[in-house]
Amino acid sequence: MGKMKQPLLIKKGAEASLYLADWHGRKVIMKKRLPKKYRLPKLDEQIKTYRTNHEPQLMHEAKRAGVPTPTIFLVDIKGATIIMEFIKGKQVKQLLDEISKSERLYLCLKIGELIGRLHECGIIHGDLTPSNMIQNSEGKIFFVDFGLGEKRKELEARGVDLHLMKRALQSTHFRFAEECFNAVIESYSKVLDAETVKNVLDKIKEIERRGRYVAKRKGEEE
Amino acid sequence: MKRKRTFKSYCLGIESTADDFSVGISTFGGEILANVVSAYIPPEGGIHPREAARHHAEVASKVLKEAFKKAGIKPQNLSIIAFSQGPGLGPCLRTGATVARALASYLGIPLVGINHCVAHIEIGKLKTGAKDPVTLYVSGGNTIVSAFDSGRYRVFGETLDIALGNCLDVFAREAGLRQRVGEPFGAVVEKLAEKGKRLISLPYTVKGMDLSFSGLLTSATNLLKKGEYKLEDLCYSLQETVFSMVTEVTERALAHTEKKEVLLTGGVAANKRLQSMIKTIAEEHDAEFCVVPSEFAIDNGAMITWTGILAYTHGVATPIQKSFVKLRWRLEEVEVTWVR
Amino acid sequence: MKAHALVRLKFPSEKHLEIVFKALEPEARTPPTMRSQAKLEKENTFLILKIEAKDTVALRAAVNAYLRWINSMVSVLEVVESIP
Repeated sequence: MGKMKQPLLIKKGAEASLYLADWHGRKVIMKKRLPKKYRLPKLDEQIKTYRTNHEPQLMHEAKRAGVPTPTIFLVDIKGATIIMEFIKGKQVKQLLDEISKSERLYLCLKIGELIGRLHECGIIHGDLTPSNMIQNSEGKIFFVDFGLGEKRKELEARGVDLHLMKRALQSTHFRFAEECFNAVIESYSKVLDAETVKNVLDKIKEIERRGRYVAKRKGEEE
Repeated sequence: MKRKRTFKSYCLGIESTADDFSVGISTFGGEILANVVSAYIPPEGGIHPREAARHHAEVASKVLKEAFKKAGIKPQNLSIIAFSQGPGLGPCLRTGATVARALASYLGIPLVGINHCVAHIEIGKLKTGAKDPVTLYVSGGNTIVSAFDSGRYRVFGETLDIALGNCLDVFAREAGLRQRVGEPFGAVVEKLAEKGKRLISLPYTVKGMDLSFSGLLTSATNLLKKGEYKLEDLCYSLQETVFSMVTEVTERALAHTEKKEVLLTGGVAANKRLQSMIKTIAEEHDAEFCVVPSEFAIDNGAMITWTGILAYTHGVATPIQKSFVKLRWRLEEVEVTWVR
Repeated sequence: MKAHALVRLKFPSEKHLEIVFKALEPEARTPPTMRSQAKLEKENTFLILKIEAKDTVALRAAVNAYLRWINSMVSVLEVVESIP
């Protein structure tokens, strides 16, 4: 895997651990998916392999679509490890709480545009939350963690992606979740064509109604 | 626990969101005196809200009578009536609501409308001693990962389509399995899964913190119809896949919130395999694993009773003329005034 | 086709009528479907239930629902009164 000085654990997530490491003189992030003891080894292997494989591909495509993502340096499927560029900056999750209202709206407008670009190119991020977006010192916003991403263009997939963003805002930034999400949608709407946007928004409403309870419990009427 | 025994207040709670009709009676101190459940089991097919509601209307007086007998108190001893106001199936909720309103106005005592999902969390906390847990609530109607923050139970993850319990139930029905009183579909599937050995690949759908089970259900049902796999192996694979999915999301909520307890509740909480998975992640995050005893994990009146007491003693009451049922009442819409 | 039903139910006392009437009111004000509508009135110790529906199927469903609710409330009150 190349020469590496003692990697420093910077985040122990539920799915993977992130290490800050030195790789051939370059500061990198090493993302290692850990075995999950609760899952059967075979299922665990399948999930880890699938995600380690797909994540770099999607990140590469996102970059081509004009959405900044860390550059991938190395993928080690067997070791379930990805080595990628280290983005020096702040998580949007943190930023949202620290900045003024107008800065917040500006930030959300930029985010909405980036999400629009992803969707336009058929990329579903799969885990759109403010903690998966990093703003660097130049104000550029990077999207990270495409581990749950997919290549899809269906309204359902796009709707769920945006719904997740809304939900993430509501659960950790509930004081200004609504204004943030509205800003995201405002700029998202400028990237995709009007009809698609309308359909995606309708889909979000439908998703919100579902899952709560019952409507789709099979073998039932309402 | 020492309490003053001179003057006691009691609450009666009615649960009727889906296929169970239940009445609970408890003291304001949290001593559950009665928890009588009557389950509606459809002769075949899925539950029909109207059929279930008819069952509830038929058994209401009998269940109530038994609850009073068990509790050993008189109706005049009651201080409040609580009822599940939602979310749930309309006809079922309405049946419980009308009975609750009639009782409250006959006795001239306050009515308290309770959110069913909040009640599952509160009874779990009462019965396990958990103070501030990440809760995984899995049943036939709901799949929710939540934790308390700033006055409410925030939803961290949930299903985007059908509930986990519903997924298991429908699969069991498709496989021609039968459920009985005391042995619901989930238990039947669990038994078969214990004999399964081969892991069959099924769609594993985690989207952010949310989950989707309907594609997986379709895929499992199709494999079943093909007849190439043993039913035991299919049950085993289905369980391993859906439980891994909810465990993954629960673990992420645990990592995110850094809470020190994980509470497992809802009808599916009785499943030993799910318990062991959640226990594993609890241990890895130095959190205490708490599972609600099955009597209080399934839909039950006691949880409505206890939550009614918490709400009422913190200023919540529901005037009869405003006690409409709320079919889609979200967990996070409820102001949890009793938790600080 | 429009379908109507009028049901008159005699209660043992005004108190019982009042209790059942009050308990049904929220339901009458929030019908679950557009297919039927119920109106409740009191007359001495009679409860008058007027149901208007789009067709006979919807009418029957609504009448059944109300009668079931009333029946379960009445039997619940009987239980409460029977406990000394």
